[in-house]
Amino acid sequence: MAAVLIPHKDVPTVEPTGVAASRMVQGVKTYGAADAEVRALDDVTVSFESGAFTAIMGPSGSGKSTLMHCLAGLDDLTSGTVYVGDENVTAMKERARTRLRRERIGFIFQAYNLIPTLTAIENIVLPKRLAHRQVDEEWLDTVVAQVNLGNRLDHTPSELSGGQQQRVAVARALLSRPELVFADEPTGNLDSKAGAEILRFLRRAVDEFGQTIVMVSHDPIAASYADRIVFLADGRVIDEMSHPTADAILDHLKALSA
Amino acid sequence: MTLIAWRNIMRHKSRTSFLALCVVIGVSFVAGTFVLTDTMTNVFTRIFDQAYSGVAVSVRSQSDLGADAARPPMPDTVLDTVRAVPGVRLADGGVFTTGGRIIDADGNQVGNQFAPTFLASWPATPEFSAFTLVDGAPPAAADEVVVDLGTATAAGFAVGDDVRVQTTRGLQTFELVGIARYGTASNMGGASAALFDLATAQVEADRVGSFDDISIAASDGIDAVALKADVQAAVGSRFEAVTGTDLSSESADAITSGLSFFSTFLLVFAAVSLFVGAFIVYNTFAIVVAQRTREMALLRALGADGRQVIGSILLESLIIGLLASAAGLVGGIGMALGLKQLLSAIGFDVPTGTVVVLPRTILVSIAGGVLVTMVAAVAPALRAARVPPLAAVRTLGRPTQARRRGTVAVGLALLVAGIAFVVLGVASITMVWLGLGAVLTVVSVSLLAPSIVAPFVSALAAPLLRLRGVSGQLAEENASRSARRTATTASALMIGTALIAASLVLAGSINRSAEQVLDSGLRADLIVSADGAAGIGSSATESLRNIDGVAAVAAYRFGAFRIGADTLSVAAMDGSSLDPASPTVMLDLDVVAGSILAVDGGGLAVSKRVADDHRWEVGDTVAADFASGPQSLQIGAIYTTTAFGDYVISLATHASLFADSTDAVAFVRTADTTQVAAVQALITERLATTAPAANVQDREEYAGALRAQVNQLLTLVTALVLLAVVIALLGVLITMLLAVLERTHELGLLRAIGMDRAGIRSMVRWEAAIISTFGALLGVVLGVGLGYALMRTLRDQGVSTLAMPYRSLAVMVVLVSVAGVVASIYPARRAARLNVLKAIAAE
Repeated sequence: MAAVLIPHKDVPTVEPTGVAASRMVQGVKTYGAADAEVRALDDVTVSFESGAFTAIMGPSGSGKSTLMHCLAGLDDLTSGTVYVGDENVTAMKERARTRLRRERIGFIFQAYNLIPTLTAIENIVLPKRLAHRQVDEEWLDTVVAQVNLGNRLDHTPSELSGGQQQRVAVARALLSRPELVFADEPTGNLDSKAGAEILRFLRRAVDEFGQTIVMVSHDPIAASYADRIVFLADGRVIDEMSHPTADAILDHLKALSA
Repeated sequence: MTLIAWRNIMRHKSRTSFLALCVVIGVSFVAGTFVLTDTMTNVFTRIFDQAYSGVAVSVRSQSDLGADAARPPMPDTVLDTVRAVPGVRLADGGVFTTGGRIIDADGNQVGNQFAPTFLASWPATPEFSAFTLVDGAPPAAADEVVVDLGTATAAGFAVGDDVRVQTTRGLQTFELVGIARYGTASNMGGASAALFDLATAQVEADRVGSFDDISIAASDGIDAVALKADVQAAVGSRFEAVTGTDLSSESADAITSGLSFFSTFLLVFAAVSLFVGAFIVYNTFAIVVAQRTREMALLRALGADGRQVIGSILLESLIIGLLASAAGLVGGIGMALGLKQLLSAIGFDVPTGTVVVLPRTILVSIAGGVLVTMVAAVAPALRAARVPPLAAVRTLGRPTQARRRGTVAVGLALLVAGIAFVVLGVASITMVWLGLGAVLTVVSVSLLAPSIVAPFVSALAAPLLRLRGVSGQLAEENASRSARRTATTASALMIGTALIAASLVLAGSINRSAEQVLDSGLRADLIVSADGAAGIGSSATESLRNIDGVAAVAAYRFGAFRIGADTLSVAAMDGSSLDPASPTVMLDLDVVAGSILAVDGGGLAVSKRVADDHRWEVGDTVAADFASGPQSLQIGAIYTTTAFGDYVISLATHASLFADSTDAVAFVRTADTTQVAAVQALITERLATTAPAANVQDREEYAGALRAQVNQLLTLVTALVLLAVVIALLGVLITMLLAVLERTHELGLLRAIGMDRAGIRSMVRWEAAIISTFGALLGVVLGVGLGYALMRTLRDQGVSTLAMPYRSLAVMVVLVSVAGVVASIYPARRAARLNVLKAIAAE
């Protein structure tokens, strides 16, 4: 296992492009009726660079998950606009959004969310099959080798550990080489060792394959794997940080809550 | 998605099997009906083909009354005319009539009491014989008889035995000289046959100097159809020539049309079974979709579109439907055997033959099973497609039961429409509208049922269940919590119980009404009757007149005739037996216009019902067709009691119109009504030597026999509806399995905090008891309503009084509830066996 974890010297490192893979412009999301209105997102304008690993941090209820759901087209903004690349997601009908999710976006959830009746490998190729696309066997081998499931590929999720299940979920997200991968607290259910493994995979996907990843987390250690952190509180972007370390993040969080 | 559908099936094998079984039963029923009737048609066609193989052309009397009605005999001079026709190589006259009742050693009629008892001549020319000897020799003398193999086997007759046969001459004893098969069968579809030489048959059947038919063999090179035309020209229009081929298909057609009535009857019940199966499929898929909400949402988040989600569920239903239909087709052959038993129980013996499975049977069974399964899965599939992708990432509760209000509105509208159709059907006596109304009402009640679950449970079940402690209370709360599931499962059970309840109410009402008619209309003290077409014979009636204590004896006969296109039945009795003022009155028909005595002058008495239909009044003349020719009859009286038929003529008029002179029934009045039992004994003793198969019944026994007939039908209907009830009980089983699966976490929690396995089991069983009792009670309410509607619709058939069989209904509710509990034994055991730790860890 260790051999795989050590990056190969001859793999080129892909630099961030400076192009926005995903943007939200003046995003507002409210819940509830007028008198009991909750503003989950309050005039958020934010953009996520292609080929970069961005973390969204903030306390519970700060709007991190809502931001991610709206960016992914899973949820609608009350007002404002979401773009994936140059396309206006807000204006899309459900069918177009389904196609968007299918072809250009990958998801990694906190609760793994594998289909219980399918084996690990079947779960990995599922989005491809849903899209009626051929599986790129070479790329599949690469991805599968990365997540290092060994002989457990033919096991169903109930036969895998939490870390293994999440690795399957990561492989599933990476297989279609989506423009964007959204990860929602991907290490939230894992112990620190398994969590670190997942984060290293994500980091390498960004470095070696130029994958764009947007991750929601409230764990400073997890966030420290990112290129950039966006801090959210009460539905607003309150700060940003580039090339963070865990200590720097902790200090920053302390300063924010003070 | 195909893979997901398949994996879901394989993962939940027991649920899938039970679900498939629900469809299998319905499909088996459909397939079984087709297999049975096709096999029978095939068997009879072959038998008749063989039976008539030696006959090129046959001659018989002309009759407008259809192939199966008794035809008058023809004079034997016709045979000479036929023999003179060129191309006729051979021609023989024969006797073939009903009225040869074969009596066994105990004095009872051999074989099925409802089947015909034929008396026929053994053809002198072997090629004309439909019968083939399996033992002994043909009958050659006046004291010799040959019987069919079926009769000989049933009665244990052997060649050389003395056999008693009741003929038009009375009870006669013959020597059994031979035993014969009919074609390849042991008898003619359950009918018995007593076969004599021609002269003896003519004497015994009251056919001296006449024949029932003439069989003709053609000379070489003569075409049967051409010969038929020549013979027809020679014999004239009073007689009819038919080819042997036509005769064979005519006989087969008669059987087939009887069978198609029977198969339609069975298919109605098969449809009910499939309908109930569809309910279960719908309910199961609806629950499964709700349980898989997260999975559906995940698929949508990963890029599956709505159509793919729908496709996956429909595919799952398609696979289940296909497997179930294939199994149902195989099961149908077994079902055919069961239905065959049912047939012989109601008096129709079926000769065995190769099982016939026509492509139509396969097509209808597979298509029906698949269609029912898939259509039932459509609504749940659409619901699954509406699950938002966001549900995958959010911990939403169970999907809320939205659109309840809309469902209630639709339910109420359907209920109003259903009741309106039922009322319309009753008012106009149109069964189609009544049926449509009933179906709409069932659907509306199943839509409304979720709204009544909670009140029902709290009002009726709660007080009882509180006594059962925590398990009972939790069961009650579970049942109301999943109101929709409880209601749909109960609705499936409701359909079967409603049909049984309706039959119970209707049968009870028919019996009660018949008793009332007998009380007011039947004045005779004793009724002498015999089952079947042969009746008791006229000599038997005469022999009763000089018995001590008998004040009066009256014969009662039947005959078939036609008015317009309708073949009808006319009863014959003398006015003195029908006149309430007469001391010897046997039946009081409750005359409302004219005088019943008019029948003695050749008049016709008709019931008020038909008089109203035809706008007839006393004095009108009715044109009718009899086997002996057209006749005009004047209406002399109109009466209301229809229990004895709609048309009455006198015995003298009957004798002038019908060749047959068999008494169907004899009514007896005693001189002293305290001595009825003594007279009954004397009559029985007298008939032992003249008509041993006749029943002598007092009024009470007669009413009991009528009741028994109605109850036999009731039993038949109940047996057929039972399959639908079994399907619904499987539905209870599946629902409880799903409930256990869904509440795994909760069950683990209960176990962890100290509930024992028995407590868990009892909780599951009580919930099943609530569901099944709810279903049974809904069924009783619906069924009583439907039964009342049916009773009102049959008001013109003499069903006038509602009888509520409270006890039977209560017994049914209890039985269905208990059956529901039995169905939940397996899910209860599964629930009790859950591993506590794993259950708690479950999501």
